[in-house]
Amino acid sequence: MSAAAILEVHDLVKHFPVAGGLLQRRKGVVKAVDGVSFTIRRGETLGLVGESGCGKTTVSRLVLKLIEPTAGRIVLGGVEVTGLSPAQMWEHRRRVQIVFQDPYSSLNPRLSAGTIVGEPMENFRIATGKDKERRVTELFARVGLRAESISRYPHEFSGGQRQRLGIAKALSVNPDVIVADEPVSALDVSVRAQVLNLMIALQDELELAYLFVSHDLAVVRHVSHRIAVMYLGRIVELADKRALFETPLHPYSEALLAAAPVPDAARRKRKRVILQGDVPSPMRPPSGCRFHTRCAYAMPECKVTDPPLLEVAPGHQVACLRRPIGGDLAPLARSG
Amino acid sequence: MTLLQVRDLKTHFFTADGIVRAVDGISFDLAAGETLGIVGESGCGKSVTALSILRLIAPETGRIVGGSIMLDGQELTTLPIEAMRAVRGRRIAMIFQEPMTSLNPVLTVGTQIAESVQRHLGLSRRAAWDRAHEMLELVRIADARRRLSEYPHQLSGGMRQRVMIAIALCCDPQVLIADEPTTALDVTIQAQILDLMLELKEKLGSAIILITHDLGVVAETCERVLVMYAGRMVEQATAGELFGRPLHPYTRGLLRALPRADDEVGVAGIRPKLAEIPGIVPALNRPIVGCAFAPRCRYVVDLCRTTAPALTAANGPHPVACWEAQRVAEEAA
Repeated sequence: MSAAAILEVHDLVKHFPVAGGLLQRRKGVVKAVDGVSFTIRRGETLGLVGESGCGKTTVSRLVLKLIEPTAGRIVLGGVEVTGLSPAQMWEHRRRVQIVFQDPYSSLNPRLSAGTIVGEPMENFRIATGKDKERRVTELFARVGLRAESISRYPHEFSGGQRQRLGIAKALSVNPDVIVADEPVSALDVSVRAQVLNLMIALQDELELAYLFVSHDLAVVRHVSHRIAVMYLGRIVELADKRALFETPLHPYSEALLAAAPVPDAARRKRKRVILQGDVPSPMRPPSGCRFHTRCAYAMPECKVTDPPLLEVAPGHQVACLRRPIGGDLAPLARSG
Repeated sequence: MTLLQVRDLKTHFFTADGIVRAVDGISFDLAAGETLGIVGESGCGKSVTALSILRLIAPETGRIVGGSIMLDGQELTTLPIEAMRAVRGRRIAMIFQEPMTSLNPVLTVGTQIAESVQRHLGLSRRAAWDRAHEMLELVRIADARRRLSEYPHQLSGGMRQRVMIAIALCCDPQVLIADEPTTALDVTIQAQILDLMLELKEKLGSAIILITHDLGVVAETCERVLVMYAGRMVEQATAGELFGRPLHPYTRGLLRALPRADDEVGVAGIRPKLAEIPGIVPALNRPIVGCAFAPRCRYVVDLCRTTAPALTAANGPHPVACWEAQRVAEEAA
């Protein structure tokens, strides 16, 4: 893994206006992403986890530049791509590709598998004619699809095969970064392992950077090198995966890890903190620390002060007032 | 004491592409107060099993073609439809996966709970409303009085599933069937709902059939587990046995294919290859000869391709449907 960051995201903000009432007046904004920064190196997977509405999918759409950020910068291979015109953006589009969650709705049902994979090569003038056909055949073999399936249509493939096809399409234009938004969530366990193994093998071979978005902690832990935990539009903790799983520092990360069911009946009786209540509305996030309304360790100050994301140990960032720089990294004690 | 006894249940669907044998010979017992998990991947027949027990298979598409379902000594498969209605929601209740689509969007939460108790328990409107209030408090919905007159869209996903549980439990059913009750929910909310279900089971004494594809959920909630594949049973065991000593190659494959959140975290950067189960599940619209898992099984022998193994405890510590169970167990040890 080389040290150069291929993707840098600085203080990314995305607010969506919300209209309502008879005249569709602007009622407020949803702060879907509210100041998110991270980097991904070549060959590295950054896992992005969090629950529905935490902003993880908005981050992935911003990185793909499918939507424009309200504020913040995205730097791709040393080039700032925020604010580029669509024409200027064109050449950068190739470098970031996506693998979608739903292999059923993300492939055009009227195009053959070969066209789905080959068309992007023509669009980006990477290959045409015989050369393109040869590359399509190579890609099919690489992702584990039979050559005779090139002339088939998406409905003739199983879910796992469609996801392989989606991966082949993403790879067809030699991208640097792949955004994978819940790429295995729609797949059954036995097929999921096949797709995860393929994604990891391709990454190691092609030095791809992955932004891997998922709600499934076990999957994220398996594929990631580093993991960012999001809550209500913010990254609350970002660390090496081992550090995150062994010593989660943010109370939300701790609760999220404890809530994930483990396929081992012997562990059933383990003590766990069950987080109470629901995620607050991102239209009206709580004052101070956004997590304080559900936090078992909240102090009075948490209601007023919004904690910044600080690096409290090498490579381990956390946004919690009870985790100051130089502070104790032991598990927190419940405040009275 | 056996409360629900299912024997050789077969539910088939009659389609233009042939007869789909969605459930093809399922048998199990459920004791009062017990939690039984039914696990398997999409299309294995677990949901159709649940719908068959409640006789909710649409007659224009499919029907129960064989077997028996006995609830407390009463045969359900031949019960007249009016008598069956008195069973549904009263003696066997069901919670579905998607609380948004299984609640009626134009009726208040209170009306939907009260409707069930008025019909089944013959309570007055006023008493039924009080019962609804009591149920919402039981499932720990804050501010229950106000929530009674709210509509489903005003509630969060977790609260909607709590309402579903309130509706399911309001007539004190003997059996609660929960079909992927937490699949649509976030993991922290899932933990809340599973906890609530188990707590209420203890309190009310209902037996639970939990249907899920999530082996983690099964491990954390069920006492006994039935594993299904392609409409058939492959293994049945206590949760401790199943996760500690899985016998069927399919169960073993599933457990090994899972990335696990609890094992030793390796050195960052090293990502062990997950065990794959090659191939895909067989199509169910053609008769399957022999063991349904044979084409994907690494222990396959000639017998597997010709004769389907029955679920039996003869070859090991718990019932498994595999000709080679002995060899699989020895290799694992």
